[in-house]
Amino acid sequence: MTIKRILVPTRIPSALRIYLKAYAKQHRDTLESSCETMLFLFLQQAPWRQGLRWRTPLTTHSDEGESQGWRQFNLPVTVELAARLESQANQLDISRSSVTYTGLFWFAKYICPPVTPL
Amino acid sequence: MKPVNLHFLPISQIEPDPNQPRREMEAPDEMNEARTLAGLSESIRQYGILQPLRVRALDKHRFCIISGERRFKAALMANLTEVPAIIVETDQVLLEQLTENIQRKAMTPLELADAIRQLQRDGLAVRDIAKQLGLHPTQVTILSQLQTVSEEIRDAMREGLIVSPRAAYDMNRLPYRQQLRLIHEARKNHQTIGQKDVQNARRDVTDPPSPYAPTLMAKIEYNALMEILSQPIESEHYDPTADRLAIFRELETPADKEPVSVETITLSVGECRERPVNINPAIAGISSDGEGRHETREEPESSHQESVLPPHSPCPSPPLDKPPVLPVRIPSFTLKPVEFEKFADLLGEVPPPGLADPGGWLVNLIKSLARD
Repeated sequence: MTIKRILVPTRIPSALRIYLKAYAKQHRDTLESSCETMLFLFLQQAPWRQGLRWRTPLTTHSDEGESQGWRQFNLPVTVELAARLESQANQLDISRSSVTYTGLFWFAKYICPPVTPL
Repeated sequence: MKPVNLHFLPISQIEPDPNQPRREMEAPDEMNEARTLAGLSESIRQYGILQPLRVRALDKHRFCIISGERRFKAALMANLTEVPAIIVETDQVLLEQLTENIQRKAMTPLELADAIRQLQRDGLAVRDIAKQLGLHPTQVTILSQLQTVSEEIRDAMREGLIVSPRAAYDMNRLPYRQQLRLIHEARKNHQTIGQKDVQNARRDVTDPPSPYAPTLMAKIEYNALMEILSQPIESEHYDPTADRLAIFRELETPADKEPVSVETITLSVGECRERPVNINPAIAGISSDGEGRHETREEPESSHQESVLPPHSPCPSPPLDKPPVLPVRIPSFTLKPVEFEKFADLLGEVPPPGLADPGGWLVNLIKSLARD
């Protein structure tokens, strides 16, 4: 049985994308699946209720057309998760891409921060 | 073009090659009757041998088969007295035999492996063999490595449980017990073992990644990410500790496993005689059930947090500038009631009667002894 998925678009910094890929590889998971888990946990824990601020994703290119180090990130998620993200965004009057980006940011910064070899 | 040296030779003067790489003349997978030896014999009886055998002269009246051993055996079954044969002079008998057989794709991987090994012993390099046989060098390497697979894998290949040489090659690198388990399951379920099955088995063997495992990044990418993550946001007062504890505890105790956390263990020692005691020191260290069952309550709050999870305070605090301090993880283990009592005895302690949490009690005992 195939689970229907829809794309949730956002923008994320290139470095965060590298982190997400490294995390997925390390946990023997796919990028999409691991991001889905992160967003699921984000909605479950609702850290914004404890004071986490929402992050606003930048555009991939500046007005002058220069790259800002951000990339388009279209995440395929289950219909249910997409609806929950949408509903959360509507409740708080912010964009869905902001909810998605903050969720990934929250996981990278607070839940499973990266390390580098010394 | 060289003239064809065709003769009708008495069948008694022809003998099979003892080094013939094809050993199974009746391949089990050949369902078509015309392809079996009996079917071929019947065909020869009706139409004769359409394609002459290729032989080389051993002496004036003795010839050895290069290719056409099945036709020769079928001719014997059909009681022919002479067969058409082309007498050739070649010093690359094995290569010719292999080329002929590979083109028909009827040789088993093990037969190919043996033949390739023989060619290697004759001094041919993998690249040369691959070129001559029209195979990829990797295929030749894998086939030649099939010589080293265990006897169980060879048997499974002969039975048709393993078809892919790559699967057999990968399977040989699994622990022996895992190999036997895979073969047993395939035999039981009448299935073949593919590369995917071997990959999954290998995944089961290696330790699963810890949910605590931090993501390893190259220095330059790490610095770039840290720069982004550390950007201060005004009036953010978020403490992630509770979220981290909740998430990792959930990951530690998946629903399909036995309970491992101290909170879930409420068995007394007496009850434990029937059921094993699950102990997870790491979880024991972070649990708090309000009944004083773990000693980390005595530790200062800061060290308690650090022993379990790295402290993460919201930016612009410094911890994110350096790698977080990671806790030492001890994998969970299970003791039988008898082992539990022996362990406690070894440590010189007797479990108090009516002990509600044997796992937590033992962990605390070990910790207190280590501290002393």
